[in-house]
Formats: sequence, C-alpha cells, structure tokens
Amino acid sequence: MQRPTHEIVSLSERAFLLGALAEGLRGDGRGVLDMRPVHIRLGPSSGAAEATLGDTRALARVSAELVEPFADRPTEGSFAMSVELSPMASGAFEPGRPSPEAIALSRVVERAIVKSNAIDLEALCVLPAKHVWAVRCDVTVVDHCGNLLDVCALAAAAALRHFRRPYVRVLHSEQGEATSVEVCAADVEEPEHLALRHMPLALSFALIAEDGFSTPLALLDGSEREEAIASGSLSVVLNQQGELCALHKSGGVPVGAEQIRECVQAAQLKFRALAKALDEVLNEAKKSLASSAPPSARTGEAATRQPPSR
Amino acid sequence: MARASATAPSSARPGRHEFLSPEGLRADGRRQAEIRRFICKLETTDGRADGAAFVAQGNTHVAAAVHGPQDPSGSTRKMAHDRAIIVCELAMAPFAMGEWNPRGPSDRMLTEIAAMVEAVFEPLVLTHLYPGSQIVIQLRVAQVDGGLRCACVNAATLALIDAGVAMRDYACACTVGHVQGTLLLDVSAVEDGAGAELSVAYLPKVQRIALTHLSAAIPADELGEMLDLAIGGCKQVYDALDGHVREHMRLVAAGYGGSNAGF
Repeated sequence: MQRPTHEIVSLSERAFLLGALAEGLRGDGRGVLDMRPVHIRLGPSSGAAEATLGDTRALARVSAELVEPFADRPTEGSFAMSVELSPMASGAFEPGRPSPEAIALSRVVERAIVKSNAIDLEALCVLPAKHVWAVRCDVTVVDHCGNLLDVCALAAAAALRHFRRPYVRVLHSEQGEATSVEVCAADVEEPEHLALRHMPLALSFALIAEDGFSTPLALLDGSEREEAIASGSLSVVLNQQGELCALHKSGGVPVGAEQIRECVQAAQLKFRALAKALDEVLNEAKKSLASSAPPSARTGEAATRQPPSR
Repeated sequence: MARASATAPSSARPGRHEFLSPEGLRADGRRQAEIRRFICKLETTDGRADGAAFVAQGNTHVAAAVHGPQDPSGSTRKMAHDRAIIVCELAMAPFAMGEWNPRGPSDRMLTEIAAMVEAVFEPLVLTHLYPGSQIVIQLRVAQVDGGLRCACVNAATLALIDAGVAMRDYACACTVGHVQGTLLLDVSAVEDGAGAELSVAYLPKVQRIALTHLSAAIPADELGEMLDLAIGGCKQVYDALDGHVREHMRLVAAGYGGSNAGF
C-alpha cells in the first residue's frame, strides 16, 4: 500500500554512485561537505518565503490570529508549525493525512524553534488572559530533490523573520481598565515584526553505508539520489549564538560519537554561509520597505496621526 | 535555634529550583551519573505474542510485545521481497502523563516515536533472514516520567530477544539532561522540564550510536561531554538488560531439566 518515500534506484546506478563516493566524488560534482546553491525569495506579502536548495523547493507562509490564551499560560502566545508534502513534489507523496515523514519534519523544526525560545511567546500577549497571538507557519514542499528538513527550516526561518503582524491598539474604559482590542489595518498603523531572539537553521547529512551497517560516510545536503541509497541521516540544527537547537538522528545506520562531533563541527562552519545568505535577503527586503512610502503619506485621518514611537 | 538549623541552606535535600545539591545529590537522592531504578522482565504474557517484555526506568513504564516474523497483515500491509519489514505500534494510556489526555492513533508525538523505533531496529535486526515477512513491535506506555523514547527502545530490544528474532546487537537507550549548566544522567520529567534532554540509543558491542534526539537548545561545545555521559548511561542499561536476559535464560534452561547450559 505505502509507496517508498524515495524513487527506486537501479542496481547499476547504486553501484555507480557508491563507486564514485569511494573516490570522494558525488554525482553532481560536489565535495563531501558542499551544499547545493541556496536561493531565498521573500514576498510578495509579509510572511511569505520560498527557499530552494538546488532543485528542492519549499514555500512557507506565516499567519497570526488573535485567540484566547490557555488558562495555565495567560500571558503567552503560541507557535505551531506544519509541513505538507505535496504530491506535486514527488510521486512518492500522497494527498490526505500527513505521513510519518511529514510529521517528523514539522516536529523537528517546530521543536527547534519553540524549545530553544527562538520566538518570544510572551511578546505575543496583547491583553493577558484575553487576547494573545497564535502564530503558525505552514510549509509546503513543492519540489523534492533531497534534504527536505534543511529547506523547510530555511523557508520557515525566512518567513518568520519577514512576517509582520498587524498593530493592535488596546482600548481602555473610562476607569482606565483595558477592555478590548482593535486590530489596525496596515495603512493606519505600521505592522510589527515578531520578537525573535535567534533563528535556528538546519544542516543535514545523508549517511551512506554500502551494506547498511558499516561505518557510514556523511554527505552534507544529500540529493534525492544520494538519499535513495543512504541508510540514515543526521540533522544538526544550530543558531547564531553557537547553540545546538536539535540533533536529530532517528535510527538508521549507527554512527560513532566521534563522527557525530565531526558532523556538528562541519555544520558550524557551513552555518555561517547559510545564515549570511538569509541575512542579505532580509536586509534587502528591509531596505526596499523603508524606501517605499511611509504610512503617513496615505490619505484620511491616518495622515494626521503621529507615527508610532517604537 | 534548632528550627533555624533545620531550614539552613546546607540541607541535603535540593531546593525547589535546584537540581543538584552542594553535596552532589539530586531531588530523588541520585548522583549525577546514576540511572534510575531499572526493572525489566521477559516473557510477561502467556498469550499469543511471540515475545513480550516490560521495562520500568524510574516511573516510566513501557510494556512491549512482538508478533512475528509473520505474514504481512493488518492495516499497514507493507512488504519487501528480500527482507522483513519492522512495524512499531505505540499507544499511551490516557493517564500516563499525569493529566487525562487521550491520544488517538494519529497523535503526532506517538507517530514520531514509533517511526524512530522502527528506524532503530531496521538495520539492527537481521531482516534478510526473514524475507517477505513482517515483525510487529507493540508498545504500550503505562506512565511517563521522562525518557519515554529510551524506555520504548529498551522494551522493544527485550521483546525482540524474547521472541528469538536475530539481531546484531542490543539497542540500549538513556537520556542525559542539561539542567542549569550541569549534566544529569537519566532525567525525570521535572528535570527535563527545567532544561534540555538528549536521548541516545547506543549499540554496546558495535560501539556506535543509533539514535539521538535533543529536546531543547544546548551550547554546541558541550555536546561531546553529553554524548560521553549518555553512552556511560547506556552501558549501565546494557548491564541491566543483559544480566536479566542471561538470568532468565538460566531459569528457562533449568525448567527444561538442562544444567547450566553455557549461560
């Protein structure tokens, strides 16, 4: 019933790939620790991003709505993540309920973001016990050519840093008590970025062992072909503060503790380039936003309002 | 005066927000690199299961049953012509986490852990010996107090051994916590909630790691130390598991009237 997650590789292609790897060569000419070209595109609206790694492509969309908080955490907003593996991306994906692979992807990215306190959930509180923001990030994989986790994490990070939620004004009664809130349109009050402390990014290794059990070779950013002959993967999620936000190896071929350490070190080196690429794209977006017309230039009563002093 | 000394900060019991007392003791009286009370049992059912086991790591209790190798059946119907397929089904009692929380079959956490258990045992079991068949690992969680993944892996190892499934090695799992800057072995739920938890499944004979799972952020340069401590914990678990398996087999052999048949 269940189709394989990856396309089937013929025995001769498998032998060719393994033979080339034994000489340190990868199918697409990369070195063992080289990534495919990274490309990030933001927009058109706030909180939308597209990330590609080689031919693997994912779209992320961040949205927020005002909800009542959980009773035991009245001053905290929430963050949820979902990954959809669209049947468009690969013949191995089926529509319908999320597959275990999709669940694992969204759980790893969500945990890396939430449990490392990347998002300040208390800053999402508008009126304690009444209104908090529930932020969610939906990632759709539209082209599966290997290494989904890194692309999903990158798209989610770009979308979260690009997203701006509407400004909310708290209305007070005559006694000075906060009574209700008013969500301001983008042309009345400038929307606000999320309060992010850092943003984790993932770097994954495909673990290739010829017989499925010997000491594996770790290939950074495995392509679809490489993942099809791999016997497992190791994902390292890091942030700018030098913290390890996730270290995900769910079974597969066993690796030595020393090899895990080497992979983390290699990932730390590659992380800088990846983070820099993301920063550049976001800075450009910020510049183009600043050069566009400020909200006060618009018509009506908004023109007479002082710009928010934030 | 006596009352004042009783509440002095040098008391042996760690305070509310202190997980390692100055004397080096944790809230439950353990030392830093000590695992919790580890209880395991083999052959826990007389029923139709081919193998069954029970593992209690502190207050985390998991029961496991193995059916197979058998014809592919059930809802999954996965099959491979040249090897056995391993299927793990994991369910948790609604009261297991302390609060009443019924979890359906599509619960995200349970699906994730079941997929992890499958992936740990897929390379470990000599699946090529059972072509075209299916090995089903049933896991039932009665209560959880930290280290759920590890207890599941340990229980599955024992149940597979009880079922007589050919394996390359044991999979022994243990957590290590990073709480308030100190490393604690085999953390309970309270300790895990205050910091980060790294779950590691280790293959003691192969001396390699099958599974790592980190629950929250840690400084990257402390990873090596955490892995070393976790491997030490896994070896303690291995001693407990292997000791029990040998003891059990001695009893079984004695029941057949055999002498101490090489165990």
